Amino acid sequence: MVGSRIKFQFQGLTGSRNPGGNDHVVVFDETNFSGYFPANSGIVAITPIQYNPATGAILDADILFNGRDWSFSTDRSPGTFDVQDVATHEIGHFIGLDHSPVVGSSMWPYVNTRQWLHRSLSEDDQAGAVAVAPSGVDGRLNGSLRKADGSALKGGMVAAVDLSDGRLVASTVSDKHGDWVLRGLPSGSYAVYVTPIEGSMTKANLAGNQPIQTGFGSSFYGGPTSPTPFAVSAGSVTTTGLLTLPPDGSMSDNTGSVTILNPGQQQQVTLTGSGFGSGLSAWTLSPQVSVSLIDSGSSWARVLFSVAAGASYGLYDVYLSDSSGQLTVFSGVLDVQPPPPVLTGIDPVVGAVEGGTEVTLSGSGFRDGSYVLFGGREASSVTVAGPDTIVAVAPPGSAGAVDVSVHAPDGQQARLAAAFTYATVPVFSQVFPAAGQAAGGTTLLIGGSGFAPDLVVLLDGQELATTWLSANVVQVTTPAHPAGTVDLALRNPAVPDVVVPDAFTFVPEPDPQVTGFSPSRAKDGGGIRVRLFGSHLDQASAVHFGIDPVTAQGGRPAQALEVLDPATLEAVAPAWRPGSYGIKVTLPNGQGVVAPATFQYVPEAGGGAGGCAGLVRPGAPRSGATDLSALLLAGLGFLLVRRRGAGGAP
Amino acid sequence: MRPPVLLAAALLLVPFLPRLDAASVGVADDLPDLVARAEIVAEFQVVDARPEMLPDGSIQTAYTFSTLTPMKGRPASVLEVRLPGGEVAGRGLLLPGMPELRVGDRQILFLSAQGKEKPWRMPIGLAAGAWKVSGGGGGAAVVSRVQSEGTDVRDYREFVAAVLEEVARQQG
Repeated sequence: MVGSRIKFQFQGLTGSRNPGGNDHVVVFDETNFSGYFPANSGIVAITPIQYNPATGAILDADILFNGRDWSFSTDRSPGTFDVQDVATHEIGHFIGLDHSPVVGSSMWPYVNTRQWLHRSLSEDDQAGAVAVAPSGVDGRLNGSLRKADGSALKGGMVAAVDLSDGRLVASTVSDKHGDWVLRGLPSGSYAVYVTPIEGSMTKANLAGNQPIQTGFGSSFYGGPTSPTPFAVSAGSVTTTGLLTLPPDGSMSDNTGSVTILNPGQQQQVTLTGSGFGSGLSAWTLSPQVSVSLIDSGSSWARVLFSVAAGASYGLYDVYLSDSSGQLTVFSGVLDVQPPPPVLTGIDPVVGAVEGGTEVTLSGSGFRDGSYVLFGGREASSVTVAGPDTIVAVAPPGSAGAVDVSVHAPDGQQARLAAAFTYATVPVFSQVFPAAGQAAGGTTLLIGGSGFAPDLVVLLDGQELATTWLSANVVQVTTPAHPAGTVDLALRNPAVPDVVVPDAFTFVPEPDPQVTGFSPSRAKDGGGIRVRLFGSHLDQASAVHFGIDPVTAQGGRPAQALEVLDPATLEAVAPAWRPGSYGIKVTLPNGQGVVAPATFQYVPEAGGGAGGCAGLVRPGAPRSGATDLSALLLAGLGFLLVRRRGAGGAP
Repeated sequence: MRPPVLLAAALLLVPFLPRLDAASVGVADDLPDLVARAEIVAEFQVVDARPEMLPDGSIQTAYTFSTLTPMKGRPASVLEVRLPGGEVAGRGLLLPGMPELRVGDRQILFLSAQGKEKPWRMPIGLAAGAWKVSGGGGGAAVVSRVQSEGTDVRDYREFVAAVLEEVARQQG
């Protein structure tokens, strides 16, 4: 924070949640363990501060969010309070600031679920932080106030306006002697006005309900029409002198909301209050921000705010006076902010879960100091290349799509939902077959995990048309390639290639082919002879039944294998679980093929492993009761068998 | 607003119950919400206030209220209510926004149920749930409170009647 020793540094999480202890904690109290949030209390957050009554020194302070009655978010979800907005306000209290009557400041005492304005600090907030703990010599203004009867004016709001641009820069209250000091002022020339704390902000919003006086009228040092300029420089203390305020009048302001405009914008606004007399006029002290009165009543004034294109960002007052000379001040009711960022696209849209992907964000209104979040996590680095381009490095994340958001320094943000997908590095487990003919055309089934839908397989560095079957299996067809062993690589988008050395071998021999087999089914006990027909089968060394036809994995070797001729194999099917499976043939050199049709295993007659039917006593009378018992028991046996079968080979 | 001494505490209020965004005419727009949320509604006179320090170091003030007009929740004729805040043993605890309750004050309070973790009842919405009674005697009595739109002043009799009517309506 410029000009202040106050700085914040994330120190990690703590298990402590004792708001009465000497450690200072920020807690979401979802059970009211603190006691500050009995059911339906209506309090959003609270910062209880223990202090030394003799010195005013803060002894302990904690920030508690009412997680019992309210919801909080960081993405302005409907019906939730913005964490940063609320936290910024409470942190202000934490460092010793009281509420501010400046409507657009972070220390304004009220909040709603649609609000995020308090995320960033107004000049008034910054001046407060400087005043609490200046990092060097700060500029100061001081003075003294009297009421019309000559008595000291206690509790008058004193504010300084930068005459170079008309922004409200700092505010304070006068003490019981009528004296006041504004600290933390940047160098410049200032107008100073005094106004009662009334309307939206009252003494009840001040710590300790400190009594304040409101029975006086507003005024400027030097008068409303030609305020006295007071020069301030670093280390200077400028005395403004004594100001006697006019008697209390009928006019007062009561506008509790701030109007946010961008440079170049206009907007009609209705200011509310009471006792507005005739001959009203409205003005600001800014050469860049103007206000013109459209019409008015006794309790309202409709005005048009106009913000020049080059207007300074910050809070502006509006002053209203009537023909009798009464003045009322709407402190900080206009907040001129930069246009919000607009995020239109990002590239690339996929990155590694490990992070490190450099992402270019396109849009407008990007400013230096912006943050970029991927799924709520801050980017590893952010470079604002221009108002329409940010380059950010994605942080580590979890697999899946996440929102990407740009957060301007003032808290404005833009978001693209599910705009970036974290992808995983693929894991290779097997390829079938492990060898294929040099002429190409071998169908490969590659198994593993983390296969993205657009994963690409490379064989000896050559990208192959890849058919994605699942996150665990992809299929490719080999190209023609000279004989020899080559690497296989898996390329998921945005992550480094996974290279499997010597994973596949091109061989001169043609691949075995299976065109059919007979019979096409067997009992689950196996034992049946199955003939396979095709070509180049004479070198077959193994036939597996019961394989997964998609992955070519699993199954069990044939009980026996006999090569009848290059076009015919005879294999004895092993026992296997009932179901529909594939058959594969492999050669000693790694070549192989999966049969084009599935082979059916069916349960033995009688159900399951066949033993259960024996529970029915042969030849026993089949009374209804016996029948029922038998069915139940047989059914139970069947279930038991099925369960065993499901756990492994039968 | 920067008091010269670091004498600050804090809370942030909902500009209480969203209905308050609308203009207030007659009775408070949020009265149904105040009544619904409160376990006890009554006009009290503050008889005594005693600050106390709890074993965990937090500070509360035990108020003794004389119940003048019970409106909801059957408060005892003499009711003791504890609120966080106060000064005791060289330490103070401040909660701005907490309504100021001084001995002798008459207040219409909308009080939450007593917490289980700490024996505190909070005015609903803090300042929103505390209406100070003033006037009477030679002039018309009024009730007033602080809220986001400013100080809200109502006719005492009309306000009490409206509260009682709302309580009856909600209790069927």
